[in-house]
Amino acid sequence: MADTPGADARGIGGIRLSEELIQVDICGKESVAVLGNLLEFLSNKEIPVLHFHQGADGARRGTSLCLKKAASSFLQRFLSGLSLIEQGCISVWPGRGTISLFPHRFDLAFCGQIIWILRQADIPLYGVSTSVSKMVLHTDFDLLDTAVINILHICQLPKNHTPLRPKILFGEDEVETEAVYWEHTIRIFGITRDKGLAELHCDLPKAHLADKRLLQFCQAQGRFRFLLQQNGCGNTVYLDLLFDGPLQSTYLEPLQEMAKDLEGMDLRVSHGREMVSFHGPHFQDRHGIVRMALWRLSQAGIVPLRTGCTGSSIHMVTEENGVDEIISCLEDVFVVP
Amino acid sequence: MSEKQLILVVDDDTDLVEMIGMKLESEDFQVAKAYDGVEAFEKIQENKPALIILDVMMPRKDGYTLCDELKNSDAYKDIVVVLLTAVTDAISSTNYTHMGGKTTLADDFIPKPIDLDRLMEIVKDSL
Repeated sequence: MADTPGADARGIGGIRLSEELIQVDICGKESVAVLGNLLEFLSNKEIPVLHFHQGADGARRGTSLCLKKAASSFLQRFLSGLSLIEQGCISVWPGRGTISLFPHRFDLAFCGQIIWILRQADIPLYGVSTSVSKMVLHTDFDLLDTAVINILHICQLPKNHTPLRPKILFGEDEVETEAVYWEHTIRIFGITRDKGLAELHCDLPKAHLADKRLLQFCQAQGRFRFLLQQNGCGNTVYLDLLFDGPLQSTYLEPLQEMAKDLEGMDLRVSHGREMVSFHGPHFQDRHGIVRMALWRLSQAGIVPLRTGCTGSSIHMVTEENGVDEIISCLEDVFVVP
Repeated sequence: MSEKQLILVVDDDTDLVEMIGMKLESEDFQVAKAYDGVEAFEKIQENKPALIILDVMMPRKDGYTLCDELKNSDAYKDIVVVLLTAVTDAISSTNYTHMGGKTTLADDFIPKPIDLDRLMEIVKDSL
């Protein structure tokens, strides 16, 4: 499948391709209620939410989640029970899939190059997020193999790397690893909190995700903590990046130049951001996790600025002093044994 | 100056591998990573670790099989193997088969979701 990578190809541990997924986008006036009802419905039907992105501030207000294709009929049942106004808040996109690359080593240059090379190849990106190890890109299911071919122009896999579409074996038998179980208190292996972070917000026209100046910024900036890209209404993409400490103004220059040239591009930096991360395991195996977390927070009137869940961990970005509040609120939802 | 001891972390959960790796590196260990049993065996052949933290359910080769292969090998039987096991009492319904009654030759076990501090205690006590 792969062409031989160039001499400066970056070594990665592996690539994982998803099965066919349905992407569900929710935004608009009734979106909070619709999302709450959808998550409850999915939880009651024991359907895990595989990926979850949410923005809660201003134009970023909206949610995107992914389900397995097999959930399609259940989803249709849910939609048929909505009013016309509620149906207007929700868009369903079948035929989606994800590519997970790992580990990213918090290397923004690497992530920037991946986005750049896929956009150069006209591969659409419907969302991007990161976890502690993975960069997860959402695209069309039937373009996953093409995406891998392009990625392998700039990346190198180990000699006997784990399969791109792994099947779990127990002895010689292929087994289904999904327990699809539910826990009232969700046992996880760690909670991390990061404070004093800077967040870069970049709203730009979709076509300009492949702009070399964005890549220049990524290469200059170096290390990042969290990345979330969501598609907004129309032609706009929202890219949010978290960094340790204040951003160097010199690194921002390529982006500032872009913002001067491009109509519809907006660039802002926020300081004093915090992030809490709840680490696994296997969120993709278990239903009700996102619902439990968000429901408890909404009861307490807490709305994270951004939430990203790639299936193994949940990351929530807040304003200053928000993280301790979230951890306290969720202390009997997520527990480290 | 003593050389850092090499620990191989093997699990198909990449975030768990990364978190364990970061914890080990903070405790001054050298870390190698693999995401299934076949890749793990190749890494062992390239650079023999002192200890392996090994998941059970993985693609291509499961942890029990790899553990048994290592412990039955003259070249690798001295590698300490710590198995990461699923907490089966929390799972109401699964459709994978338990290898009931099978004894493994692992040196120690830790249930998932793992307690990272407890894992570090096991690692340090074992080496």
